[in-house]
Amino acid sequence: MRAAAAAALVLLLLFTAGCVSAPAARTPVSCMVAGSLVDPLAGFEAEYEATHPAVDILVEGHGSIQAIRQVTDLNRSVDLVAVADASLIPDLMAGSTGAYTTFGTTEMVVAYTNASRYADEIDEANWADVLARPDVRVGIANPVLDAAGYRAMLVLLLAEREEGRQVFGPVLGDHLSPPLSPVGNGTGLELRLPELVRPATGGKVAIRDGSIFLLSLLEAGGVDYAFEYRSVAEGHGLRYLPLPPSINLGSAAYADRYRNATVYLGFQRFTAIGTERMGQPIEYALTVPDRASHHAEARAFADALVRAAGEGRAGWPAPVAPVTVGLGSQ
Amino acid sequence: MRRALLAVLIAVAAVLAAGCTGTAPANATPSSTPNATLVLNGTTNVTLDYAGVLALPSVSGVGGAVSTTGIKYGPFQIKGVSLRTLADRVGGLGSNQTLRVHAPDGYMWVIDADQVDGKGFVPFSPELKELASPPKLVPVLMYEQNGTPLAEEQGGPFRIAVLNPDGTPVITEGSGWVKWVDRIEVR
Repeated sequence: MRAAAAAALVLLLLFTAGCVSAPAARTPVSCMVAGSLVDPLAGFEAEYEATHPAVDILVEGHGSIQAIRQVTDLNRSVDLVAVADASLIPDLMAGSTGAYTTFGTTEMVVAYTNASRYADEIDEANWADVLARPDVRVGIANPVLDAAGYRAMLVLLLAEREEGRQVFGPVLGDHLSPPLSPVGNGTGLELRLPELVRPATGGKVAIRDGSIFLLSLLEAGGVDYAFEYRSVAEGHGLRYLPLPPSINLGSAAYADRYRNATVYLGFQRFTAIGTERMGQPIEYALTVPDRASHHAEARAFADALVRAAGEGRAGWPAPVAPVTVGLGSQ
Repeated sequence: MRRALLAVLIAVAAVLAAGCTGTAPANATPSSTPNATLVLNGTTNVTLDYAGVLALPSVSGVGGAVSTTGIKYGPFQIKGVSLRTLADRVGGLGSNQTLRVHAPDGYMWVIDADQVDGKGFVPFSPELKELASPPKLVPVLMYEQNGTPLAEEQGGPFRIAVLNPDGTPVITEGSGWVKWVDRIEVR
């Protein structure tokens, strides 16, 4: 009887051994990042973990505002936030973090493939005319959901202002339902979107929620050209046409000029942020929230990420001299 | 004494083993369900409690969502109330009107009359390939997913979803799948 009980005990102890004596735990570092950072971080995560085996980097992609909301509105335990618009952090996280660091930039380009109509003809001088041709299909991300969407519109407004002729309408606005036209506001142009931005029938324009679907549409031939970030186009091995720095939102030297274009979204998706989107240089930034569960590990990963971005890796935002901005909440 | 100690050890080990290997109980009932309310604003205003929503005519089907970064959720078996039915409770939805769907976390999404009638969505296969011939879809206020009440972490008790009533799995863009819906407004 005693032998049977002892045997049962041994069996149970063996059975539970793997359960109650957990393997050496890795410290999870929860990272909420902009969608355009998901691919670069996928590779970097493995690289970092190889040299920091005690850390488990967990990357979750969202739109930049949604990435921030995981901390501010949804109260999730988040160790690092990285966004594609640095201005969102002081606007939305001033009470949730003490500082943020800018670490990269990119610019808007026109991405295309070898199969795109007029791929052998498009250049920096004629791109707007090529995109306006009736048989050319153009794709943008949904401006309400993806910063790349309203930034595409800002590019077209800046081009229209710079060239002194209609660009937004022939390329995009005339092919939306309802049609959209920018209006002058003193020195610049502004565009007020309806609640829902939908393509008109005819297929000239396609709108997708996220740029990831725009890329697959482009690669499948569903559109000929798509407005994308340069880093994303490079990361996916796509051909792309660089746009002039005066309109591509990629140069701090043109910050004043970019402010001459403004898009007003059709509704306030989040109570935390309004509908005005004014042109400004694209700037990536990251922060470790005050309530991060693993502050030290997150800080170390953030530092490594900033250093890696400074190397100018393919498919990453272009390097900038990192600047840390204090917000005074700590 | 030894025998008693042995019995205690066995009992402790058994408890540990049970906690380790047992299947975690499904979070079948959202904790907020008893107090859940849905406010409908139109030409009239109606406040429904959880049972009141479940008492409305329901529609079932299969649907899933994909996030803007390509993460797929589902497809799920979905049961809920069509948005058209909800709009009709407060005076209906005209062809030029929209539904504003609100959540208490400050999120708001707009759905137009075409979408309420199942048009204007970008449908994908479960492999996330765009479907050339979109099926007839139905947007609903979901309260049941895979046969159980929608849990809070799933966006419950009420979440917008888009389903295919014929049962063929269809994935749609997830921006409109508003979680924790507490108010729907006809504008």
